Amino acid sequence: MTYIKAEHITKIIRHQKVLNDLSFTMESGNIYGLCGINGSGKTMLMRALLGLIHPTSGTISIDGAVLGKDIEFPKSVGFLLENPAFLDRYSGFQNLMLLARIREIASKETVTNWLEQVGLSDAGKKKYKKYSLGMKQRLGIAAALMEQPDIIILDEPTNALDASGVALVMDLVKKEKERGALVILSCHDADFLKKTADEILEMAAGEFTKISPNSKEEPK
Amino acid sequence: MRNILKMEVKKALGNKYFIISLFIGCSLSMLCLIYNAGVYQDYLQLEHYVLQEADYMINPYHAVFTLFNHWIGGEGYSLGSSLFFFIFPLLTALPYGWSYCEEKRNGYARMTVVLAGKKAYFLSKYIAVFFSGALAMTIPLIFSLLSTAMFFPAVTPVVLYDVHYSVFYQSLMSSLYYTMPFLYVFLYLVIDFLFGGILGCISLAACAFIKYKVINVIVPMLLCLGIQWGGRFLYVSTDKAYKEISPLLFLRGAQTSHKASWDVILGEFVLFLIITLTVTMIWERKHEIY
Amino acid sequence: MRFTKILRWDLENGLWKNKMITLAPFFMILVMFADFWNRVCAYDRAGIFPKSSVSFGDFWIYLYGGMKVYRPQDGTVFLFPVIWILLLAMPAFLTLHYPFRDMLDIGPQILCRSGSRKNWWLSKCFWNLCCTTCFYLIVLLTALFLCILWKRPLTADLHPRVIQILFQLTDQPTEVSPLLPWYTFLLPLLISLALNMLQMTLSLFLKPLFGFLCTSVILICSAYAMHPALLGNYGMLLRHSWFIKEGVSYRLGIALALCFIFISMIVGLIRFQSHDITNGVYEL
Repeated sequence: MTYIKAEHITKIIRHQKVLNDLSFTMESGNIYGLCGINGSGKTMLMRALLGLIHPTSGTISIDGAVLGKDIEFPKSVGFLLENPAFLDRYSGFQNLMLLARIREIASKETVTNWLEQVGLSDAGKKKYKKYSLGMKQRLGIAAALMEQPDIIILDEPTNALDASGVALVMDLVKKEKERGALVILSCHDADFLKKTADEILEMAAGEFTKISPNSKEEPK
Repeated sequence: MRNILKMEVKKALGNKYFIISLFIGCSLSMLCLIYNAGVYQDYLQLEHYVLQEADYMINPYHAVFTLFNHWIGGEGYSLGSSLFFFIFPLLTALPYGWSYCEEKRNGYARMTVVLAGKKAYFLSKYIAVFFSGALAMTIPLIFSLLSTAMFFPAVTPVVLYDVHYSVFYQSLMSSLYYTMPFLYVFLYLVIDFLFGGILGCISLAACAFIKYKVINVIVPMLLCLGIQWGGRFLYVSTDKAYKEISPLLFLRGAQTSHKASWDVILGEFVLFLIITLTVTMIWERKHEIY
Repeated sequence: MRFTKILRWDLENGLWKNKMITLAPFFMILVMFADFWNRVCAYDRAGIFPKSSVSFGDFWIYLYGGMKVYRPQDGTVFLFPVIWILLLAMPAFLTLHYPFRDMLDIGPQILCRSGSRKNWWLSKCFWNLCCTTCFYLIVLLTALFLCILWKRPLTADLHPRVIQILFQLTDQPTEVSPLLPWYTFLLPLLISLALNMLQMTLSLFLKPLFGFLCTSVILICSAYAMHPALLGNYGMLLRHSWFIKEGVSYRLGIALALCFIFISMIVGLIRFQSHDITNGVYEL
């Protein structure tokens, strides 16, 4: 069972508190939804959870190991941050294979399978620079999920997606939760969060303003 | 057009890179001044020491030590001057040469083009980059001239000491240098202003082909180094008097290697102007903006 | 194990796919040889020295010789050695951008998968060393190839008269050993490696452009003043103690270059451990 524990994390960038004394615990098998206005600190929090930035004070531990001290990055993590970024000159398939080669968890078949799952089976051979925004987003989601990580962090995963894409993400995220992954996602679509998240954390000015368990009532 | 031009010029002259560029340029001017003032001080002390017994008067207006061969653009001996005339292509592109590259990447260009039109956008961008580069080049030179004038008398140079000025008989505007030195300096500042601007615009034109800002900013410097290197093919004979083709050398008011000439200076300027205008105003304007 | 994978990634994307690292030195040496030979022929025609006497050693000095010691009090205007500057500034330029571009786009994905910042940074260091060595080897091999093609003896023989004329030295160097010492082939590479590593580490603290600016300043300062602390002097063969009495020691040069490489690596490693990776930081 994977868990993330954050204790009083604060991040100051150029004299401005972008994360302000955040403490929380997250456990696997749950989906945590982050919401809040632009600039409220959602992406910064995700970067901190990934180990890409270091909190000015406070600690983040994953399964008891302190990030930045015991471990530098979460051991098993997949993520999509802001806009997906891949290498222009490679195809979608090649881009995923390049990433898969590092940990050697996902095989060629797995990568092909994930491309199919995100609806890119035909476009897998197309160069990344020729992808539409929605296709890039789908590829980013595949990159985050293909290694079946314990922790999944998705920043605005529904950006640029059509209705079928949004439904696909919802479906994939739920499947990951059932598998036992800890999923953290941020989204401006309240409806999407209501339908997927187990707990919704509202952020403003780097702080949690409201943490509420989600009843997941289907809108009538 | 007026509004977008105003906005672009404001963006070009108001960003931190313009300030950094001026700071580096002015620091090098100071470095040059410290060296030259030291040499002048040594001379005065030595002369005082030698002549104090003989009851001679020291001539503080000795024509060897004049403002016109001790400001950064008029000498080629100090480290400050050598550094400035090596890195100035970077300093001219640093303020705003990269802007189109950034705006293309983050989508700002397409937004502005829709609002203001392609011609207005590219023309105002070109003018803003030109001015930022020109000022980044000229302000440190003017700063050096003024700060040097606080220590050195503006004595009109005397032909007798031409080796001390590195302005010789065949040098560009040499007659003006020995008769109206302020006009000579002013004309050199104009040349430097124009070249500073056009080198900045080379960086802008490079944005059409290179998508990384840092590379675009270095392109003018590589171009200048390339031209100087190319000159080696021309200057083979030791007997012939060649014309200087490298902007790194002919933009100084002192002759470094070969003599500067109007036809080369104007020819290069016009060539760069045509290339940058063609790339920015025709090539990029015709291209679709995604 | 993951280090080797990241290194493989870096070598593939930053060296193998970066054609400029291989093409730039090749074309540069082609043009430099053309210029060199053009001059040699001109001097041959003028009866200054016969072109038959020119060897690979002379061409090597022509490339990495740099310039004689500059003394402002002599009344000569400072003129930087453009060929030497190009040969050292070009690898610095070619290795400037990749590590920081890699931190922006797909970089965070690679970094997280690598599991360690140390691996990432060390991989970039090795990549940098490999690129610079590759650049240098292509320079060396192209120079050798051209000398073979023009039927020049592939010896490290030196001809003082050729050097005197090519570098416009006032006196013909008489005390020069007739053969280029072994370290004249090693030091330009080591200095280039040290400068590029220093540039990469400085770019972490400043920004890549300012890292390049620092490299340029070091090169010009080295050409301007002969001082043991100015690294570039060891990369200029005309400033070595085998060429001039007061020249810099090659032993010190090798030690300094290795120190710079090692210290840059360590300082960069420490800096990178606490480095925040946010979008857009390394744009300039």
